Amino acid sequence: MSFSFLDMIVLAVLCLFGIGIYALLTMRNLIRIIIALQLLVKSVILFVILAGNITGQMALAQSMAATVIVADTIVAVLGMTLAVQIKRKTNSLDTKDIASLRR
Amino acid sequence: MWQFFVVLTACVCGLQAIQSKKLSHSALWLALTSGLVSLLIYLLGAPQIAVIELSVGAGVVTILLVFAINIVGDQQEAKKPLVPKAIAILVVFGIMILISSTLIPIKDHSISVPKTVSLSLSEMMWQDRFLDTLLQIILIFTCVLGTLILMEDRNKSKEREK
Repeated sequence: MSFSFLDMIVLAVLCLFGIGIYALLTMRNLIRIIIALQLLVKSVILFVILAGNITGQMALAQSMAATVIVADTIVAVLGMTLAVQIKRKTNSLDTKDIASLRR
Repeated sequence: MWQFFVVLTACVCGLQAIQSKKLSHSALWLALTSGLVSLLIYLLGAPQIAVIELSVGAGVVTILLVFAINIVGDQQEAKKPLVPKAIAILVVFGIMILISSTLIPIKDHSISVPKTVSLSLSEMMWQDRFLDTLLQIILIFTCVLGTLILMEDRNKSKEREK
């Protein structure tokens, strides 16, 4: 069984996606959650480009990927500023500590 | 075959980004992952996006992450995870098997592609998806303004008013 280059890319997408989901499920630090989101989005960008490569519509895939990169960066920057403000206000970055809604 | 090592290194760097104990180290591992992902994007035939990903993912986001970590401090991770690790691993493997069963091997898929006129990236960005590009520009400005407002230290501004 031989893997082609595209199969390897699918492998990378799956691994990065899995790592991102695992981190999102287990991590409690806000900065780490942002890092996990970044990993997830990187896998998605790779997958969009792969889809463009397979279907032969690279221009569309590239413009879509550019949109994803912009949206992802904005989410990361706003997440970081919110994390900084939360740290200033509650002196903690733990998602359990800052939850005001009790079960 | 060397592409396989790039893929493997990207995955290991991604794993290190969530596993390393110090947040600043995580940010650096993330930057390395971003660099390798941009190399893979370049190899797939999208050099423009590779450059954008390299400059934004490995550059801007890393600098901002290090800046934010500098402000909030390099805290240690809480010991008890949000979801038990065994359940998280099961969920992740379930998702990965589900996705991979539909994708691998990729050659066997017969994808029906709708026939469209092939445009270059600049034509696509500034003609076909002009509204999207405009929205992105507005989003960036909104993000900058929002960040400036959010980063403002209220105590300092009150002191200034006094």
